[in-house]
Amino acid sequence: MPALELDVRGFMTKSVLHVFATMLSIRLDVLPPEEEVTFEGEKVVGSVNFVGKMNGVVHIHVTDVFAKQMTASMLGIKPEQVRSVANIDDAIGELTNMLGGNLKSRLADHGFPCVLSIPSVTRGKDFNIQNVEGTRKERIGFRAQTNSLLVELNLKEG
Amino acid sequence: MPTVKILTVDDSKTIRMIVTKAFRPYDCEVIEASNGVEGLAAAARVRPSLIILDLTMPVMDGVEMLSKLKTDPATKQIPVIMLTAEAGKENVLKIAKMGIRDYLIKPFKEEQLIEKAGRVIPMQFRAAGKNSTKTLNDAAVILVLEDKPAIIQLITDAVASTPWKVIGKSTVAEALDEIALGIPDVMFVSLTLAEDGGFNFFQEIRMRPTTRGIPVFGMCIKTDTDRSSRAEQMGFNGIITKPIDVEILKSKLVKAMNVDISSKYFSIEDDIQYLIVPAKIVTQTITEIEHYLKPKIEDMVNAGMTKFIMDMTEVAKADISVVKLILNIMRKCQELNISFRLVGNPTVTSEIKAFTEAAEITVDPSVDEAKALLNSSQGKEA
Repeated sequence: MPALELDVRGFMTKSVLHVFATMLSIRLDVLPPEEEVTFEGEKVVGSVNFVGKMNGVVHIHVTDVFAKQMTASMLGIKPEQVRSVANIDDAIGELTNMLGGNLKSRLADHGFPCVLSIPSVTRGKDFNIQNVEGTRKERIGFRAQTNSLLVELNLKEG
Repeated sequence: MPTVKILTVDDSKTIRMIVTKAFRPYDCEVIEASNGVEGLAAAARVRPSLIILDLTMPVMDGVEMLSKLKTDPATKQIPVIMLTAEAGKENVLKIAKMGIRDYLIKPFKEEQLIEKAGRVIPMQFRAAGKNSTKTLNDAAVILVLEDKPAIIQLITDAVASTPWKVIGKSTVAEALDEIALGIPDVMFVSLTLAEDGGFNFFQEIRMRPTTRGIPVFGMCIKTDTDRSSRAEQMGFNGIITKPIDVEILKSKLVKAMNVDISSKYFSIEDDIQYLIVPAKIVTQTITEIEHYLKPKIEDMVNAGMTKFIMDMTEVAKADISVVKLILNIMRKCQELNISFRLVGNPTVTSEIKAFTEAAEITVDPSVDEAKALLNSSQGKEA
């Protein structure tokens, strides 16, 4: 099957909902494609790359406040008990890794084997991640009460 | 010292913390390593009963660590459960061939990890008393598998004054569904359910790692010795005979859940240790008070407290066992320079003083008076 025919958007949406429900016990609502997701204040972005018959990257964007809440949910503690930024970054990195791993498996099962990188986490205000031309891009927005989550996916056949 | 040691090897501290948390209720020690190199060193050093190994890690990944483990005679027998975020057929087949005992796909629930670990190693809940801090104010869930609603109601009423929740289920299927939603603290199972349902249920939950250590009591009528013997042989934690004696039921519950019931008798207010003796004193009351007396007095000494009031104003009758208890407490307090006052109503005071051994004991008419005496310069040993 050609890569462009894969329903990666649908798969990624299900994968995000499953990871959040299982690891964080957080129910997310999927936003309509036309709704723009914006972030106030510091942003935390988890990224994982894959290289092989399919090249690409998965980013998850959240505010640092939501990132802290997500970490607390994962560890079964209160947000105020999460004291280290390193713990938050590790949790976001691990969640990104799970999403990337699930996608990698999906691609491999459809004839696009690839290798996954170790996840990385970027923090900061007012920055954009620019992806190279010629890639298939998917942006999926989610909401958990007042918090937003943006999952970005860029794919290019290798 | 736990006999079961579990090594979690994962570059994510979050995952190591989740694994550690999952095993916390069980009698085991979790050792952490953040990559394959550290994992191999830890495996050689501690010889764990089980390794939970992540597949993708920097420095040395799970595949390389596993192959090195399997070539070392000292570590090749250690069972490994692989953790991976990659659920693809190819990946699953690849890791299944590597000599692992099982694998778990991320994301995972803690219960899934425990379930898989329980198939590989013996897992027991931490021994009662060793780590339990449950008190009478803590919530607990009691699952009752019984097809007679009156019995469920009786147990519900018996614990109505506690924060414990009773969940009654009339069939084995319903009870198992309930357990899937949450693990109860203790279970009562009717031994007279149709088709040996109670016994079958017991066998089922003893096979599951997550419920293996839960105390389970069988229930049958007093004269049904066949069923009660069978249940005892199968390993039920005890038998509750019908008609149910509520006091015995509560006592068994408290013991099974290792509940600290000292708050029934002991409290601290304004730097004074109070022992409030209930109106009706039975042998159990004296036993329970004596059980907690030593640690309570030790706690007082360690906290620098020097005042003790034994309040017997509600007590209806004082016999020789009560007098012995008073004398015992007075002696302990004297040995540790703790000022002691006894408070009693007129009836109890005269009953106490009727005993030669207690004739000289001063009994204050009210707690306020005892407190004032303790707090004043006159507040010395009674």
